[in-house]
Amino acid sequence: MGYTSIGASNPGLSSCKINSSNTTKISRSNPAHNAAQYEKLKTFYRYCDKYGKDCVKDMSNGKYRFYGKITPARNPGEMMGRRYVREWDYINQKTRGWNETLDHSGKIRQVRPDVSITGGNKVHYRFDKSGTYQGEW
Amino acid sequence: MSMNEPIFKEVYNQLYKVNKDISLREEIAEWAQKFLENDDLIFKDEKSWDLIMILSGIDIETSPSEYLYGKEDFEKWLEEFNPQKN
Repeated sequence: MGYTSIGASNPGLSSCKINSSNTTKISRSNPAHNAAQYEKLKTFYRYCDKYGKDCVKDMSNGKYRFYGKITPARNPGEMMGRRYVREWDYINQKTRGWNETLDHSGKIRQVRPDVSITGGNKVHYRFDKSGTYQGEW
Repeated sequence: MSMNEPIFKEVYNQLYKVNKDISLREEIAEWAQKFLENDDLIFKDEKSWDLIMILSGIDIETSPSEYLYGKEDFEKWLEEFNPQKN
């Protein structure tokens, strides 16, 4: 698996850091800065190993997306399978996840966020082949 | 939340119970989802993690009346992850 260099494309990560309580700025020369960076790097690799079995995408906005492998369906329908995606925001250290259902051409046709995002309800958001939102249930 | 990695046999049994209609797929998906969403829980057994990942999505629907995965998938996974085979 090719790992993305954390912060390489994001000046926000390498210039000014916020500690874990999100209150105090730490200068780069301060050893605490390195410790904070080290912790984030460790977290990044942990998520890579756990959630990013297929690939990792740097969203260039402070977020990384970790893509699991697609679990193919034997059902001969329109959809090919599903994968789980975990997103990590390294600035506020928050994560969230969702399921993506893909069609046979690899397009994302449906998204179902973790129920923790949708108030405990399972909500499927449907899209057509061109990515236009079709509705939900 | 403090949580321990489930042993592989326990994870495999959840799939078995869904296939035999002993448990609802929604219940099992919810059970697996707890492990999936726990960012701090590190799985030592790769097979358990792979199956947890699968189980967490067995209740995905392709329409309000149709599931993405069916019996054929369950049987394929039971065979693939069969502890006596590996």
